[in-house]
Amino acid sequence: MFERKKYKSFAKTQLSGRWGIPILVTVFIGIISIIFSNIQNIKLKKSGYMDTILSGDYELILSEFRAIMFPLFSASFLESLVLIIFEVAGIGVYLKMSRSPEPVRFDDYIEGFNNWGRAILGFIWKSLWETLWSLLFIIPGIIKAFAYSQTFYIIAEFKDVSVTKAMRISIEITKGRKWDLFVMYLSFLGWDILSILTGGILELWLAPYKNMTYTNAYHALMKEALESGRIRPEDLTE
Amino acid sequence: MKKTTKSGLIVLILLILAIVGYTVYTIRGMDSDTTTSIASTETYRIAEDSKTYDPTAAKGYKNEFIAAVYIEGTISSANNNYNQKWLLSTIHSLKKNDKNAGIAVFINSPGGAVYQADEVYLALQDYKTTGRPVYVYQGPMAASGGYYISCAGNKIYANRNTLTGCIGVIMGSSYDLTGLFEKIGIKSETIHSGKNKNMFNYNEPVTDEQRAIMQSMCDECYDQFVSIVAKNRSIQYFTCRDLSDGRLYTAKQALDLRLIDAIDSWENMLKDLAENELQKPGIKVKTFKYEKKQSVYDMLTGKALELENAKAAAQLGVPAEVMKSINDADRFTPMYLAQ
Repeated sequence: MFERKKYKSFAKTQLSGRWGIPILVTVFIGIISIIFSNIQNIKLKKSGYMDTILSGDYELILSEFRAIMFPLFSASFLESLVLIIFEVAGIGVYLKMSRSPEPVRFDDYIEGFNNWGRAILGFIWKSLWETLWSLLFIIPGIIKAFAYSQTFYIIAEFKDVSVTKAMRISIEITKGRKWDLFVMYLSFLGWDILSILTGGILELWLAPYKNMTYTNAYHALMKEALESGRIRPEDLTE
Repeated sequence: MKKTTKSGLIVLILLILAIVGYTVYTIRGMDSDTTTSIASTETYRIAEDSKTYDPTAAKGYKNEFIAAVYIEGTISSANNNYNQKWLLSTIHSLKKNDKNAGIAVFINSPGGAVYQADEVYLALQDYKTTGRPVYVYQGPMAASGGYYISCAGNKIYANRNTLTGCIGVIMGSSYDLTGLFEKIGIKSETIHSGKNKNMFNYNEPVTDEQRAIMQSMCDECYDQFVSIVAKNRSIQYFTCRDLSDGRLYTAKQALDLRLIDAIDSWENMLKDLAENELQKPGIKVKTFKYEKKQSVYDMLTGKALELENAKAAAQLGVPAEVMKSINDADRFTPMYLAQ
């Protein structure tokens, strides 16, 4: 049973008194995202690409795009890799917080960086499949994205599971629950709009709240799959 | 500290260093003006098939090079094809560079501003004080300011289809619209001190005195041009004046009049420079060309100005060229230009 409201209220209790580290995690990721996007924008502006887009001359835009396409995409790709390592480390923090009410320290976040290899592989594998699916059809691509959404949690929690297997487990545990996941993401829409109005400051508190809720949802999905026998405990240990 | 924490910390520190390094590298890379030229896009060797080529001797000058400097487009401070700052700094750095054995200039220009053309000429003369040669090759057009710069060369080559010459000055055109304004009932007055401050403006007729003033400025620039041609080409001053009535010459005519030295191809000129002048056959040649991508912003603003001029011209009933010239601030700029 997917009890969205329960996960959200539980998240609030889980976070109480321990806001420090999650906010720090959010700040880290935020700063790095801002640096990367600024660098990209400045580079694009300098190379004249922004002016080209505004000109409306279609052929010129195409040729300019072809010129910068490879550096642009490879740079974004590398930046995404760096960001995903930080995110997976953050997931490790939330997982630890969801298991017991003891206080978390910054060391727990640092320990999450050991997963950098599997985080990179997981990102490449997941993006590959998501891209292929979205090339085929858009809507199935979105559905598959939901199916793959639990991959990083599995990667962070079960260190022995291979990356490809983690994605298969994610597909399995989200079976029948994708609509619930979608509703859960949507339920934060009001908070998101409020966060935009505050210029992103609210995001510092909103992100831990969201991530905590998602972690709770993940635990529930996993528990349900184990109980109904779709996932066996041995799958998670090899 | 736990072992896992330590290794995680190492990963984190490496990542932060990578991010900082990437940021610094990108910001550093952005400082350099990406629109100016690439020095030495092409490097090749010349006269390797010469009879005097000696591989062992060639090793002695294998790091030296002839600089092929390209001067293309209208000569001005800076425009889409030409950049004065780049040219002067290139010549200056070549002068300081020990490995540089000589300059081969390729000129394809209808001329341009007197100030900049003279600066380049003097820079090349300054370069020659090191004892190294400057050979000039004239491309499709080396007229007026282009020919001015060519005079700095020890030897001037041209292609058999080159158009050169046009030794003379254009000082500036005036459009006196007082008659038109009277007809359509416009009164235009510019308050000025002294009778010549509003010289050559469209709302005042040109007086004889003003004509004489402009003519004297023009004559001075003309004298300067004729004298450097006479000096460098070893032609008598007054003979030179007769040649310099502003007409274009074909390569053959210019050769007959001693305005150029030889008609040949670019490669043969380089061979001559390498074999006979420098006596270093097989020497490297490095290309120095100014390349600027025309930004879309320039295109857009240029077009907008053209449209505005055309509209204003249509409303007044004057040709668009007149409008453009009225708005042009270059009324007094002397040009060595083949129009």
